[in-house]
Amino acid sequence: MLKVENLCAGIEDKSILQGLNFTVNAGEVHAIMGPNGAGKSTFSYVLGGRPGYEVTDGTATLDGVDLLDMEPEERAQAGVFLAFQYPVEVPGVSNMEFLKASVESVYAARGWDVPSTVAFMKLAREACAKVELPLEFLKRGVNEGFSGGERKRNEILQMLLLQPKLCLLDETDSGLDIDALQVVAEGVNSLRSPDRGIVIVTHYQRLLDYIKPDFVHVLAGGKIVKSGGPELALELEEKGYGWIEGVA
Amino acid sequence: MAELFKDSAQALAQSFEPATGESWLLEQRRQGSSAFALAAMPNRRIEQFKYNNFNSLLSQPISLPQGSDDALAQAMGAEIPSLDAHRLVFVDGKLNAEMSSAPDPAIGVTAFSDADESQRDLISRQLGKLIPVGDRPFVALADSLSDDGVLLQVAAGTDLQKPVQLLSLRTTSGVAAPRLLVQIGAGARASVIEQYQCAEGVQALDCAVSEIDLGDNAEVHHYRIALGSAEYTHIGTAVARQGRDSRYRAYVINTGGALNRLDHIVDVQGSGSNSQMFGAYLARAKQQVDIHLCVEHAVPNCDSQETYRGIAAESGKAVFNGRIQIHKDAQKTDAQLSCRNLLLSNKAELNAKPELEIYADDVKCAHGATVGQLDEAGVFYLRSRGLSEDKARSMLSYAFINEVLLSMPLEPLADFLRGPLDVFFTNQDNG
Repeated sequence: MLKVENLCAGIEDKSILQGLNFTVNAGEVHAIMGPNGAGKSTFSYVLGGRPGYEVTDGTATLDGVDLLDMEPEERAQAGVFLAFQYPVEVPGVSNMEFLKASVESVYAARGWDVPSTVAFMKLAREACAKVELPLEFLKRGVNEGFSGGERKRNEILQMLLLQPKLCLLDETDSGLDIDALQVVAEGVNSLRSPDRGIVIVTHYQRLLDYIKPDFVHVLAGGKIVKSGGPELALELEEKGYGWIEGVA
Repeated sequence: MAELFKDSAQALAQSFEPATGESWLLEQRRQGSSAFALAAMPNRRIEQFKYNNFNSLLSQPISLPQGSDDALAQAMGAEIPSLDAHRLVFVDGKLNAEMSSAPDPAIGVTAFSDADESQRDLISRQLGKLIPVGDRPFVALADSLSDDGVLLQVAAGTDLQKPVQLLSLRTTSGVAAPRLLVQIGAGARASVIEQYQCAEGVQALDCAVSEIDLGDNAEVHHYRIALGSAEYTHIGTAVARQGRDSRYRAYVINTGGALNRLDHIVDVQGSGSNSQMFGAYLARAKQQVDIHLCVEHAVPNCDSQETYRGIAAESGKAVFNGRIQIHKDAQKTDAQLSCRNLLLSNKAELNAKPELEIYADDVKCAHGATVGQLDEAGVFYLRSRGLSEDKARSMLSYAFINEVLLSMPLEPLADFLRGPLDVFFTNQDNG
């Protein structure tokens, strides 16, 4: 489904990703771990299409379609969902208005039926219940005055509504207490399906107690330097990153 | 160059003086005409006109509207759905009875052209009383062309539930000078809406003057909406005078127009008063949109909050001049002015100037004026959820002024404004 080959990218003149190779097949859950500065967030942003990052070499395709040539909104429409490490506060735009515009745009682009206002409200309420956000959060400004945990739950809420092919969670566990972590994990687990890929980018093993990955990778120095099964995460938790070849 | 405009305006005023319209306004016109003859025409050396370009307005003679196009007026989409208001509609300066609400004796409102003897007497005595014409050439011009308008009198203690609306539509070129004269008795409450619009492609000039006098403990919600089309020039002056313990709320939206300017004066003459002003001014393409606010705190123990949001896109030009003057007797005044602006293009221009003049020594006063750009992290966030860049930017721009819309107690009016604002925010070329 997602195929990343020899991806080299950076910001301004600084090269960060240096020949990254990574493949996700439908139905799989992958965790990407790594020390600070390894390029984890850069990888998420480059796949999401954040302006300012420059791709100097390599490819990234989703079901054979080149992602790197697409605008961020086209990637979202094609099925990429990037859950932000720091979801942005957008005062003055109500969460409901934002979610509705987002669903309408993405569904229309995929050729799905765009829900009526009533049907959308129902979907939104159900998603709210699933991530345990009170309904009043739909009326508030997007992430405006939300706590860290509420913002992350709002990300999962959006993910539930947009039904992406590829979920990319960038440090979603940062700033979460255990209760919020469980809610977020349940939301993600409910999206596990044979036709969907999930990539969890994280610094800690903690989230992986709740979302069991099929594969664990270590990203260091802008490359995947080691891959393994779920046991690798536990080993990293115990021993740190220093023992792995290629980690500076 | 301005001579052409001035000469033609004077000739117009003279021809207008005895011949047309309501002749009982003769004295008003004469005084206006003499004041206009003495007034300096706007130019950049005069501080209050420093940021305006009056060149194109002043480079041509003016004339009165020749007739009007009622069908066009009906089709302009100026009607506010589900707004239950008592409405007086003026098309090119003349009352349009058909589009207006039927007279309702329970509401003390009349068009000047329908005024009875005692109302005429009141109008001729009160018109212009609240405005120092002095250095205001367009008020003098409006006076010299005084004709029709709205008189609203709310008796003491009355809570006028139904808003009163002055809707002025322009369908032909030329100058019109609609007036609004409002007198709110002690302890009375009312909502007043002024709405000015001009059909596309019509090169019209409105010199609109409104005066609102609030008695002791009175409350007024004053909505003032000027939606310009490309060739429309709107030069408005609004004055509110506040009596003791009165509450004045103003909601101002100025957008569009070759030149769309409002001089808004709040004269706080009664202690214990509160004034709250919310305003948004938006310019794109070749538009020039201004708000010149002047709050005069003359007496002690009053507070005022001024919240303004401005946006300039494309080659638009927006000006906010917010002057708060605290006179020496106005001890314990609390005045808070916030003015935030969004500059969306390199070709756009924004001038935001708060001015505090404080002559009392025991006051609380704060002002903030900022000019910024859209938060690019926000733009990416919205795009990453599938919204096009244009949609993301328009949504964020919208959010910037939403505070002003949300402050309006009259929801149908706020909903109506979302239409023209959507048009403003969509398909901008800020490259």
